[in-house]
Amino acid sequence: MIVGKQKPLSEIREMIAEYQKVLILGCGTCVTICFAGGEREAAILASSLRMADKIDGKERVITEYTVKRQCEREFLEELDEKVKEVDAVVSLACGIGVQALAERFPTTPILPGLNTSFLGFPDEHGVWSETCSACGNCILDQTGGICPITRCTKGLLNGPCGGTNNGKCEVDPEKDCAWTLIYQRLEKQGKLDLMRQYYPPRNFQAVVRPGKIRME
Amino acid sequence: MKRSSKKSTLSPTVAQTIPFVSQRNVEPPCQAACPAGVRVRDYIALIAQGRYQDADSLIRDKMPFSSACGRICYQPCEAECNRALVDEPVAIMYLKRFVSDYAYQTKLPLPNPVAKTRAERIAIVGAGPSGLTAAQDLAKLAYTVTVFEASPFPGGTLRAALPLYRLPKKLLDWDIENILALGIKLNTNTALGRGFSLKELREEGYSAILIATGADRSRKLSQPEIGVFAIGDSSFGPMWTVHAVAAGHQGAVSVDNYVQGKSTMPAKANHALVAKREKGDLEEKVFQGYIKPKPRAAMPLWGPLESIHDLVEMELGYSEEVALQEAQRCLGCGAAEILEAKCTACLTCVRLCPYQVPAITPLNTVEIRVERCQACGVCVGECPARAIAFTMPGIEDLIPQIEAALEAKPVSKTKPTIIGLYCSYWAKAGPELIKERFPSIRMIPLLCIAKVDTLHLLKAFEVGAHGVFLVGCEEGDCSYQKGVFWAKHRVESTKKLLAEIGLGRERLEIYNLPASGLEQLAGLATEFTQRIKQLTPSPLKNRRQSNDRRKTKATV
Repeated sequence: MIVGKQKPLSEIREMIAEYQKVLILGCGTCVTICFAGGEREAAILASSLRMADKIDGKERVITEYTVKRQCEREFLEELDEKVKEVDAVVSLACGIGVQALAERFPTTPILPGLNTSFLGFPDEHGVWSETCSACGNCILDQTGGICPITRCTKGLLNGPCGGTNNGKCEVDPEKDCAWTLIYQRLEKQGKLDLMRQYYPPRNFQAVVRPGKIRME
Repeated sequence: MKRSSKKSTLSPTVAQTIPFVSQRNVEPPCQAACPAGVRVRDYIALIAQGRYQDADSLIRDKMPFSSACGRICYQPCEAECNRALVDEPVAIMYLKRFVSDYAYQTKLPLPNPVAKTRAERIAIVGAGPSGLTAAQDLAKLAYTVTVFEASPFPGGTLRAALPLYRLPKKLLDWDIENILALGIKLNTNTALGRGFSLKELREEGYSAILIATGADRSRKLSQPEIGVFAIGDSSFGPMWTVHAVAAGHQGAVSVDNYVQGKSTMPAKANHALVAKREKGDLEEKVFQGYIKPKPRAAMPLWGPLESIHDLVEMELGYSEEVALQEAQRCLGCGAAEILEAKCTACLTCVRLCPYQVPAITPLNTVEIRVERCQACGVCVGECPARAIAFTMPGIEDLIPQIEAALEAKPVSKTKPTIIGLYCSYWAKAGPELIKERFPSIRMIPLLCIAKVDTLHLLKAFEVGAHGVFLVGCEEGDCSYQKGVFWAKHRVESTKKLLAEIGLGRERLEIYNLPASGLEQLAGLATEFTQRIKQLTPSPLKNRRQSNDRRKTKATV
């Protein structure tokens, strides 16, 4: 799923500085799950902003609402009236949601309340790791189900590099060396010969940006 | 449930503001067993928090003869109480009696009359439990209600048949006063068939007539006619008071439906899931020490030597201390529910519940297994989708309570406004003692401070608190698993937010103290007050300048 992290309060306050009526809009799917932009976080942010405003003596109206998914046009329909009443919207969705909103409400500034961080999954409660880069050319079948493009700090296709250090990465000793993980996984599967495979330079044209898929 | 605005000596009450809105898809077995539909678990929870006035309102809504039912009910609720699987059922009837005695002795204000916004007038024949219950319900629905009673006094069988040592008359009068206060007209010494007839009532313009005359002797009602309804003993033969009250509720529904032109057939019963607990699971929780066996409090009695002299009650009733302890034995069955429309199956509750109660269903949805839930409330505060309803007073009405506490007059001009959220299991003290000890702090009870969420804390500051502290048990004493951990965790994350907001971390504190450590808290509260005073004036200034409270309320 998409993982995001809320921007610091001070940054959000700068973004809304010029607006008098602001809607904090949560998203009920991915960013809810990663505690960054669901109904609860939207309420916490709105409350925090109201208090910070009051301390500054600012008369600003801050409301909050949460939709099921901001990246679906149909789920945005119910916002038509709400958005009309405000000067700006702080979207707590990922970048996709922000853009979907901006498309539906072209005359209203839609401000990103969080940084869309990566595609990943939870290691445990409150900890998420990036595992996929959406590169459009998946090779997980040959790497033991571990993506070197994403999980190797250097994104190497022909790893490991010389910097692997007892299973950790030389760039960041906190992180596992993806190629060590791949080796260990392939060993378990009796497919170590895949390690000998040479990957030619990667065709980064597999997905031309911006990507587009038509279901056939 | 409206009460007049006369101030009681209690901490600020919220009976006026709490809608007690609940999902009601899950029902605790005590409530499911009550023929009158009394919200048993919820009023027990209110007693456990020392909120007796709120408990009294909640009981009287469904059981207007609360003093009587607190003495002579056959207690179908207790027969179903899950606590019996641990040791003995919670003494529900005695607790109900405690509340009604408390209301009577402290002279809690009577309810305000309900504005009669509907044009229709309803006649009720018979002022017994059925008739007066129906009268109460219809008055609350804003009808003009007149009750005709053949005898000189209302109360029916409760007055005629119960000996004084079972039900003192003054208490029955008190119950009836509470009903009539809603604006119901009572005509005594007015017997049907002897001063007036059904025909005359119809001619006088009553839209519907409800016959609830009881059956102290055999009789046969005349052929039913449209707009005339018969309930209670008069139609079904003798029954328990609680069934008579249930019949009164049903009669009121039929009359209301009839007047509105709807089908007069009673609506289909709502088939809620009954939160019956698993014996094995409870035994395991006792074994693990999660639930500590605690015997049911005995009812103190007059000795035979004292009681032969007079027709006073044999049973003396619980003291406040005993009532608090007894109410705190309640297991809070079926309190937490998933709101399916909001649940995004993030699995947070599944991962965090200290008792492994939420589970993934075969349909890959998440379900809170009511047969195991301990009502600790940890999941509610952590759910990022706010998709868990906690239908017990204590979480669902915490924000209205905070607002009500802050609306109370400032204690003094020089003292900062401080909210103290305290665990009732920890305090083991009623509201008056708490108020006496902490006169300048707005103290709000909870069944474990882990039920407090970051949003509650922010809200408290948003509506005007200068400082907030939480106080509860020490690690190991908590009535739940991990309560201390979660309360501390939330306080810490809220402190970070307060710093970012510009209010400062120092305005929030948590104290984990030995049980009943009110003395120790007194010192800490003074220290905390001093600290806040030095920080005051609060940068939030006067909350009355705030105009966005109403706007935010709908979303909270």
